[in-house]
Amino acid sequence: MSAPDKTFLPPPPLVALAAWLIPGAGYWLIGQRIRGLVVGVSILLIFIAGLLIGGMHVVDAPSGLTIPLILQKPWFIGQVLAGPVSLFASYLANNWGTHIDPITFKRTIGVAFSHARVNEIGTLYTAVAGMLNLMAIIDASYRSSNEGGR
Amino acid sequence: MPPWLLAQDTAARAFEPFRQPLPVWDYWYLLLIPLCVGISIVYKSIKCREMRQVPREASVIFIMIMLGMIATAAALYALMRVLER
Repeated sequence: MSAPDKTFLPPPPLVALAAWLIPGAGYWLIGQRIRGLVVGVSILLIFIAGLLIGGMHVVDAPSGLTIPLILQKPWFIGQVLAGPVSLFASYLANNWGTHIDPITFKRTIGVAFSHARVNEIGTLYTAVAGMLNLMAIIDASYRSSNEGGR
Repeated sequence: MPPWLLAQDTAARAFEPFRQPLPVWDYWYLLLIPLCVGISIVYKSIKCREMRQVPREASVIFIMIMLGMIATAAALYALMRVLER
């Protein structure tokens, strides 16, 4: 009698974590490398396109982790699903080129705020990238729990 | 600084990617196209069993999204014209 041919697959939580950390990495872990590459590159390109369109400030993290503060900026929930790249973008938006004005001694921001449609479209791109990554996270986790069902 | 001078100053500054928004004021609606391309590719990459099906399936859904958006825009435009009367 021969044992059923089972390839080792990482547990779904690990796949989900990898997929959040690097978009597409969940598929990569379960051996679906082309799918992982296509999904990951596409999601990152959509996210970066959003930053390019609206400027870094389209990723606007709430000032705290309480529910009222998060609900003031609900689009960040979508954006953060794209992975740590959104946290890095938020950090850059608040710190890139920031300096103290030598005359007024006030903190001057280095990244411009965008307004109106350009801001809305940039926010939409970044939030859609996060939502697409959520779909990829769920799908990769499901596939890893389903013995690599393709 | 008066507003007109501030506007001139801002326009004269070179565009710095990621630090300033992209100057796409007049053709912002064209930004729908790359977003739809991205959504189509990712959605079909997740949905299709074989990756070789993705280019064809993504092209089909991209065209369907674009036609749907154009039809919606036309319908809303027509509705607006009717309500204007």
